[in-house]
Amino acid sequence: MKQRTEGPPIIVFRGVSKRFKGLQVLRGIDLEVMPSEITGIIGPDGSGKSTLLKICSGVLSFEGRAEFMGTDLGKECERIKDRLSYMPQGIGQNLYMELSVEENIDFFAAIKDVPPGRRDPLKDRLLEATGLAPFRRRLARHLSGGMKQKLGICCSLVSGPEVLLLDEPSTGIDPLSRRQLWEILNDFVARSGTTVLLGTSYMDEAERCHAVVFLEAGGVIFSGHPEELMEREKGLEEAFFEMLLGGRELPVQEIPFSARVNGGDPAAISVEGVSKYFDSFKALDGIELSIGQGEVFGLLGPNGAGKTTLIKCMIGLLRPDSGTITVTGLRPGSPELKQKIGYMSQTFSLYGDLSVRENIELYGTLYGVKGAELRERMGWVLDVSGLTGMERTIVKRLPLGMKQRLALGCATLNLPAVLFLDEPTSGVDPVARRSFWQFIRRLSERLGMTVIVTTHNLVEADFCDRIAIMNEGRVIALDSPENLKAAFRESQGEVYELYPESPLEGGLFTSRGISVTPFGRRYHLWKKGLREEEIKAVLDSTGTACHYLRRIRPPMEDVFIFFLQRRG
Amino acid sequence: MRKVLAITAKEVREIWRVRLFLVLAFFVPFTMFIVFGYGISLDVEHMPFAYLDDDHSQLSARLVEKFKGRYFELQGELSDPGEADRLLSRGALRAVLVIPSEFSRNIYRGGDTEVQFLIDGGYPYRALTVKGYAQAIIADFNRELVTERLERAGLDPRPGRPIRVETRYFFNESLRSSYALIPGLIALVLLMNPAVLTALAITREKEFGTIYNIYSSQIKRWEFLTGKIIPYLVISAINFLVILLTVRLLFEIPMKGPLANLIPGAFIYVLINVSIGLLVSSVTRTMVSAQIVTIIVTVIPAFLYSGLLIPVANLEGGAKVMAHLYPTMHFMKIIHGVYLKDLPLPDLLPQVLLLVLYFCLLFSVGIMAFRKREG
Repeated sequence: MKQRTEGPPIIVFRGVSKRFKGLQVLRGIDLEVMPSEITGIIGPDGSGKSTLLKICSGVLSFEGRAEFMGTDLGKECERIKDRLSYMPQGIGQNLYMELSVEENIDFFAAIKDVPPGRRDPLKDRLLEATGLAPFRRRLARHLSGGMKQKLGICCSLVSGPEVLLLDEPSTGIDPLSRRQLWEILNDFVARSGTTVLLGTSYMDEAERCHAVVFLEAGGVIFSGHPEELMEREKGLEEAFFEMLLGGRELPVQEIPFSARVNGGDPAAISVEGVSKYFDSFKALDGIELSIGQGEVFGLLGPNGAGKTTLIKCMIGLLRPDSGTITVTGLRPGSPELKQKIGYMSQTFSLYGDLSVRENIELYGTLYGVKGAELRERMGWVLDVSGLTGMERTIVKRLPLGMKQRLALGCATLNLPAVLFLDEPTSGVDPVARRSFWQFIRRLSERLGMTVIVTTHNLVEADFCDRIAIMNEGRVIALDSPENLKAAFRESQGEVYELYPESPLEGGLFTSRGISVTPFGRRYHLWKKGLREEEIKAVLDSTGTACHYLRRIRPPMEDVFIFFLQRRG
Repeated sequence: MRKVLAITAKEVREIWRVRLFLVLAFFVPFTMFIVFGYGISLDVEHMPFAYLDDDHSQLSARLVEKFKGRYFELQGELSDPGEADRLLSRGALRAVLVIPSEFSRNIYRGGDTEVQFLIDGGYPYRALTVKGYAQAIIADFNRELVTERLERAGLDPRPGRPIRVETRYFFNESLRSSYALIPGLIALVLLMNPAVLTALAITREKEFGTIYNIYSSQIKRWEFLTGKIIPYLVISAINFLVILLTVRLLFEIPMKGPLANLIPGAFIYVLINVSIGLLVSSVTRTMVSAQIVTIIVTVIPAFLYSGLLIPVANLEGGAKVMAHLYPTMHFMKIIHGVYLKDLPLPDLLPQVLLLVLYFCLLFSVGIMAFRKREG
């Protein structure tokens, strides 16, 4: 394993600013990126992550001074472009959809001036590592989202860049693909000394970086090693949450209603033997679920697992081919039920060109809420979304987090008995996410509202009472997050986090049958029946000093992948 | 050069695999040519026509007979003036000849008489032409009547018309507008198609995000743009040949000069239009806006200022300057020179050189306007 260089930084920013049409996107950024490390640029949507990455790639002009390996990015950025690779945000954004997997890789090699002799061995290694080798001739457009992102990474790496710049490479892809993506990155950093600069809004991903830069509203609010922030048993999300809040309490949204929204049926939703086909594709395969009144229920699974299809069947947008569904004792699609459910779709359900107030009024009209009742609830929705005093603001000018909470408020305007939320929090910052979830919990506790949520963000699974992990149209695990983690421990053993003072020798633990995953400067170790003493013995025998070794709760991602693979 | 070829190879694969793009590349220009070719004609011929004869004489029948021919197509006799109104307003007739009841009696008496000619004036150009035809036919009939009258009086009729005009039309002997218009359409199709395709090819990469692969590589601007336009030059060459064949075989319009005289001009003309597409794509972000802007800057001026419909000599002031600024007019001169006049190459040279100049200018501006770094 290559030793981490402590040499001069590879990218240096001094007072870098960027303004788009009068909007200050970056304000006086100072930054140093060290070579052969993964540096995470984290922050909510609109904080300037993409802008910063574009400036580093030399595809965006800026004010201030920026150097890339000693070259002035302001004047001579063309000179360094073959030494870097940049992958823009969005699934498959850098790919040519009409080209095959191999044609895409070859094209990238050609424009980066890589001769076929140097290209081919690297190409084979990348295709092997990503599991894309059997699909060389498949067109990019026929790949799944996760495969597209992996191919995007292959294309970026085939030129053997010294610096790899990735803009949210894992947003919207499933945990399994995300895991493979990180394995490749770690491998290139370790073996080729590649420097990676990676934008992300997932906090659990930031924990895998050697260094993090936290952006907020175009400024750096933290820059350093994640270990500096993470106290015992606390993740980065927690740390940033506290940093952003600065010791303040998160304002609690009181819900001024005492009425319970439900009544009658104890099972809010029951799904029995539901299957759904799209042509010959089985999107749902005999789903059995029973969700209790007031439960916060999470649906997790890779893309295409059937989460959205299931929700659409529950609210009556799709009709299952077999099986029965009842929601509060009623059939999906019946007019009585429509008054008792709320739905917030993946794609935004607000009208961007209308003001906040006009959106709420529109939803009031749609749900038949009017007069004094509408006025009362409007005040409540504004309060909940933190938009009091901004009623006249045009919705598209709001930050994403506020839009999401407004959309949530609108979806609850009719006080539904059951609320369906399809990926409600992607791209939202930790504070907004926390208050979002706090609100959802309150709806469930105070009003007895049942909430069904789908999410890719596995950290959020912990906020749910119960979760169902779906794969290929089936529910493969169904329980509370704690019980699922316990089942994982039972079968896979305890997970330990080790933070050594210098990088571990390759094979130190793997040769003893212990699984190792690097997390920045730290490592996660696990094996069935693994005990702390066993790890300590290995460390002592090689004289490896460490900052700490501790047992941790298994990350939800590992639990998720465990259940996926147990089936496979 | 390796990079240029890599770009070209990628582009060709994409064009070939996206059926919509193939349609856009080949089917659209061909269809456009056919539709325009059949639809566009400045000839006013075969005008549907009827008459209202209150005279019912041999003389009125002779007059009606004179209207039959290439210009008017007799639809029949009408019974009352209301019917004439109705049919004119429906567009079933373009003109109605009304012959009053005293028509022949007045003439035989040696006096003069009137006929009424009702014309659909909705489209002034056509109405004026129809009026001209009618006047010419009546004048001819008048001359016959005068001749007959003089002969009947035993006089020599010849001094009645001392000057006769003998007209001969050069280049387009039968004076068919299609002989000028349809070859002229080549300039239109070779203008719009390469420009739109090129503009789309580059904005497509902007819209999908793949342009960042280019922005973030050391590939030079000319390498990327050259590689990008090669397939569209080939497509335009194929379209050019297909259209030449269509002109010859379908519209049966002969080319008087040799094809070789047309090719250099056509090649540079396509290069110019590809460069226009390039320029448009530098200032637009999406495919839709690129398409709209390209059509606005190419087709509209081409119709108005190229000499296709309106001879440039008839344009005034600003319009005339515009006409000379747009390259289409110069290529139109080459087309007409080859198709109608069989001009030798040296006579076409000034136009060709002008086009070369346009190309150098537009292509360099196009390359400079393409920025590998966003603002």
